[in-house]
Amino acid sequence: MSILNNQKFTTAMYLILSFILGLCVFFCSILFSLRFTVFSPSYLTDTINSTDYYKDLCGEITDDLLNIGDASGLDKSFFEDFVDEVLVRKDVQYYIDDFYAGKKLEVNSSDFQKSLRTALDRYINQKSLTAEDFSEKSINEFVKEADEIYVSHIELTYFSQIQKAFLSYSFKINIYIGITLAVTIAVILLFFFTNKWKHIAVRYIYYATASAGLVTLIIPVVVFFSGIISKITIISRSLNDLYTACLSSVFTTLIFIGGALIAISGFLLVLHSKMRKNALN
Amino acid sequence: MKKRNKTNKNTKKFVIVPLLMCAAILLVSSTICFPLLSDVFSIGSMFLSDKQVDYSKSFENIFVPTANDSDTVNAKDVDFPSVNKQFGELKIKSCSVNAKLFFGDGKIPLRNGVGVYAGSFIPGYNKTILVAGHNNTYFNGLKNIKKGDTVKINTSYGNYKYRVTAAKIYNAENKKAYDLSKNEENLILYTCYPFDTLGITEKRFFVYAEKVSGPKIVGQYE
Repeated sequence: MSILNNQKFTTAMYLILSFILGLCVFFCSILFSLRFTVFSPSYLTDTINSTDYYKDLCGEITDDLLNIGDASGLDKSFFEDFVDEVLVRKDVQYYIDDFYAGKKLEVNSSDFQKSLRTALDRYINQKSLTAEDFSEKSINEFVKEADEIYVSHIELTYFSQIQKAFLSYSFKINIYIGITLAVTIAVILLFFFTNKWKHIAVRYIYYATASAGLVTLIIPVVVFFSGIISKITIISRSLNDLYTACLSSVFTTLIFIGGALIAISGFLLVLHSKMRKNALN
Repeated sequence: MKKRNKTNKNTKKFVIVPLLMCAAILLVSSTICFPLLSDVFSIGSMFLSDKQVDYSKSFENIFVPTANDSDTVNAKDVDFPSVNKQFGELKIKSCSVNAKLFFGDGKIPLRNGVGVYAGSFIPGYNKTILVAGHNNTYFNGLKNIKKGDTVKINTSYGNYKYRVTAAKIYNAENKKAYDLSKNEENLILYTCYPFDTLGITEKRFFVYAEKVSGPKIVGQYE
């Protein structure tokens, strides 16, 4: 009776340990997928480059500038090919770099202002406009408003608000990964060192990896099937596409990790049956 | 038989235990992360909508010319326009103004015509109708407007005529230039001033007009 009770207690303890291991593996999966996506400085740049972000962004800036051009008496052709994608790329990249470096987020739009002033001078000369046709104040106001439009498009919405919290999490995430990895290794070692029969250790590790793999798979599958990502609506098309691409890739990464865990658990299952057969023989 | 039962039991164990553990992990992890998740969900829900955003620069036109010359029109017969929809046309023959009339005065309306400020009213409600347009495009002709000129607004539910009573120049920030709470149908057209100037100007040119004819909207909007 006492032996039976002892055996039940040991099994319960191992199941609890297996559950803790599963929980750690699951957290580890989530933390790794975040670490290598949103918390990776190159990730956002790569995602931007893999989408039509710059093309859409230049279109949106041009659209808003055309509007201010209409209000300012400029010909439509003035702004049609004005926005320089190379300059936009450079300014957005600086903004992203500053975000990850924890610097104050400010767009240095001096190049944009300079090219706008040059284009305006050329326009005034071409149209032979005189001082009666404009005032320095109205031109300055126009440049100021055009610059505000440009800056507002270069800035990534909500980045300045979340920067502090983001960087704090970015630091903490490494610590959390360290802790979960340490616990994972400790529990695995515990299984092996406290079991005479190694196939039993493998079985409990299988429980943990299979359950962690399932949870890691369930979350993105539910997200994709619910179509929640396609329900995201942000007024700017470029930002909408960028943010949905980012979210999709985070969940796709989770699917890969979940799939890998399921594959590992399959391998453990085969290993377990072989080890068990050997042990019985 | 005994061996088969044991194999079945083992198979169940290798399926059921991970499934139960999976449910337990979901439960525990969501409980642990609840404060963070609730923040993420509440912020995220602000950006979710069943309605797709329309990124096109085109606009919907609900304006169908009518010959209705009755004194009243029932509100339920009025196709109330939403923002960026063309619901009429605005004409001032004396100064060559002929523009599509939109509801709202954002990018699409002002690029394609003139727009009724969404915080004011459409014709027929015995209230203030505040219409904006660019001074270098559709409202450029306002520089030639005179007292007594007729402004025509044609909509799908009726045709309206207004008589110009005054034209004034105000600073852009001056709220005294218009009264949106007036209980009398009055039309205000405004644009940037001076006309034909390059750049953003500080002043606005206002044209005030009183109603001459056109159906009054009665009843409740459904």
